[in-house]
Amino acid sequence: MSKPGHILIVDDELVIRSLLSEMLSEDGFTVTTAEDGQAGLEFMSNGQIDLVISDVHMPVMTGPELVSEVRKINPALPVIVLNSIPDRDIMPGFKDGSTTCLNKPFDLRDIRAAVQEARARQALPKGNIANDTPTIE
Amino acid sequence: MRLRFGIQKKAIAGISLLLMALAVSLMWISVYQGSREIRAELLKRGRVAAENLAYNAAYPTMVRDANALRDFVDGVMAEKEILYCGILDADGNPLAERLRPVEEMVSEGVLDEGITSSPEARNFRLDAIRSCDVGTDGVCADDAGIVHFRVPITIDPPQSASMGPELELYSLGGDVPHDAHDKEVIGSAVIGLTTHYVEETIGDLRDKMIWITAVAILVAMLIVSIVVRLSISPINELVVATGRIASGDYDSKVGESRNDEIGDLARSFNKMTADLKTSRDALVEKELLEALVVELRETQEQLVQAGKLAALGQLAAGVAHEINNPLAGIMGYAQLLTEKLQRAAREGTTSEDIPRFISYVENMEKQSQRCKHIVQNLLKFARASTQEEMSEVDCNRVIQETLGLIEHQLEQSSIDVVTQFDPQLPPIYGQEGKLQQVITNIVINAMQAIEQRGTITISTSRHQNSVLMTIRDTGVGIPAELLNKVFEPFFTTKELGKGTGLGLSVTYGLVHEMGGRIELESAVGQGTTFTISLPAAEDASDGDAAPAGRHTRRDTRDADRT
Repeated sequence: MSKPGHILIVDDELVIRSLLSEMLSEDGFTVTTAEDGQAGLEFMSNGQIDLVISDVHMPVMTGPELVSEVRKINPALPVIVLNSIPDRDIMPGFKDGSTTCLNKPFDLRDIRAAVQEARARQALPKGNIANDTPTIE
Repeated sequence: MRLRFGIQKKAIAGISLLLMALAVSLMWISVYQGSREIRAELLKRGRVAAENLAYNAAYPTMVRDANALRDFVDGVMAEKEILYCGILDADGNPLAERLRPVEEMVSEGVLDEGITSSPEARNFRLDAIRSCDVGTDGVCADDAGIVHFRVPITIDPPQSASMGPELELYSLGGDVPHDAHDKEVIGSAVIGLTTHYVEETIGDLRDKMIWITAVAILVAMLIVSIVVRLSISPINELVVATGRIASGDYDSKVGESRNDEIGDLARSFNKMTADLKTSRDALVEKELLEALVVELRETQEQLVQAGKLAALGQLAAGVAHEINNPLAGIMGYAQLLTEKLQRAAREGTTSEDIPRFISYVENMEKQSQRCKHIVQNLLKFARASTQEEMSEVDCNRVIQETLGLIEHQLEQSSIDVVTQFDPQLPPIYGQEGKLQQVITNIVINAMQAIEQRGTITISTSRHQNSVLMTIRDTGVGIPAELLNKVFEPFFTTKELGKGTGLGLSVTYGLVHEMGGRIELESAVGQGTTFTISLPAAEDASDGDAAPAGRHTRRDTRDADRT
């Protein structure tokens, strides 16, 4: 098993933040939440983050804006974007493998799967000798 | 066709009857008068003849000169009207007498054959003539149309000394009845006069008068009918023209050439027709205008619907965002709860589990409430504005709720919304759905006017009996030359496909429907300010127990539910 990492959740909706942090903490992750992109970026500059989950429609900074900022810091950092307006293609230019897009309302299992997949993708290039990787495949 | 007895016929008949009555009475009077005079003339002639005879026959009677008497009698008989003439002695015996032959009288028609043909009858008649009682005036008319005159033949008595006896003997005076008693009556002159010829003359006169009258009446009737027809025919023309007007032909005129009352009537009539035409035209114009107004209202209704759809389209994204967040919460907490409950079923619960489960369910309920409010708001918005009842509406609340639908779009566009609500704001009397659409339209408009970052300031205040809502944006502004166009339907400065051009025109219509006004000020590069003024609910200023009570009830209900 890859060791649970540190996940940053950025969403202006309290219910989404509390739900995801509840679930991901249960799953063993360290969770930090931020109300907007600005606060999230500040936190990222101070500590190690393994994965970002971000809303699209937020005040101060939108999801896509946040993703571009994150990419400037760490181009390979996995980001899961949660879109509440499904018919809009809000992430043009971010289909780069490290960005996953999910629609609200989401299934918790899809979040889990996306997190696992992102963590696994992150783990692969780091340790080629890793024994547990096949379980993820 | 019904028989009509029109004015013309009435006038002709009336005047003719009058003329006829007049003519007939005139005729009757003249015939009556004429016949009276003719008869009087006859009597006078008879009397004169009798008196002359008596005077002339005095001496021959006294001397019994039969030949002379016979000559006198024959002379009198020369008059054809005289049927009988005789000189009688004092005892009534004829000294000389002549009777027109009976055959001649019958053939002349003077006597009826049946009465007088027999000798007995003839003698009887003669006796009757001789003994006829003539009264004091010496006249008597019998039933066969014969008038008898009997004049006494007198001589003066021999008493005067101044005259010679012969002269006294010859002094005669049969024509003075009043002093007859002074004289000696020696006989009488008797004349029988037929009225036959006079009556014939009278009959002729009457016939002539009847003919003249009849002809006069006919001529008069002819003249009357012509005059009446000439006078009435313009009225008939008027009647025909009235009929034409009644059937809608307001261009028909009647001749005005006459210079009398009928000419005046025709002129008045033509003026009336012209006035009628004017008012009819005005009426038609009014009806057309009304139809146009109805059409306009329908079009406006359609515009409102179209504008609403457009606004709904604008809202859809915001609504999706608004609903998908709480839905995600509900779904997520439900899944989380399911997982926890399954684990608890397997492994049993710890003391921490139950409060956590409760918090999950509470979260789910709270998010469901949010969804419910959003759906309610949306329904309120979509409801047909015309069907919505007027009621007291709290503008602050409606603005807040409306912003709830749009705020995520605003956030996404990096637009700050500042609200400055007057907490003492009275309610307006209007339709909530309309107000919501008005605010949505203006805020969306403001949002689109802001190109990058900006602020929309919404404030409410009270001004006298109105509620003012001011929506100010820091957008691009509207050029002065376009200011008066922004409320026109389909006017848009946006590129094709972006705006319908309906939003502000619909907004304008909705505000006016609620009895309010909307104004805007704008400066290019500085932004635009819309000011909506709506009348405050009437009883809002004083007491307003009812609305307050309603608010309280609503609050209580909400409190009960939570």
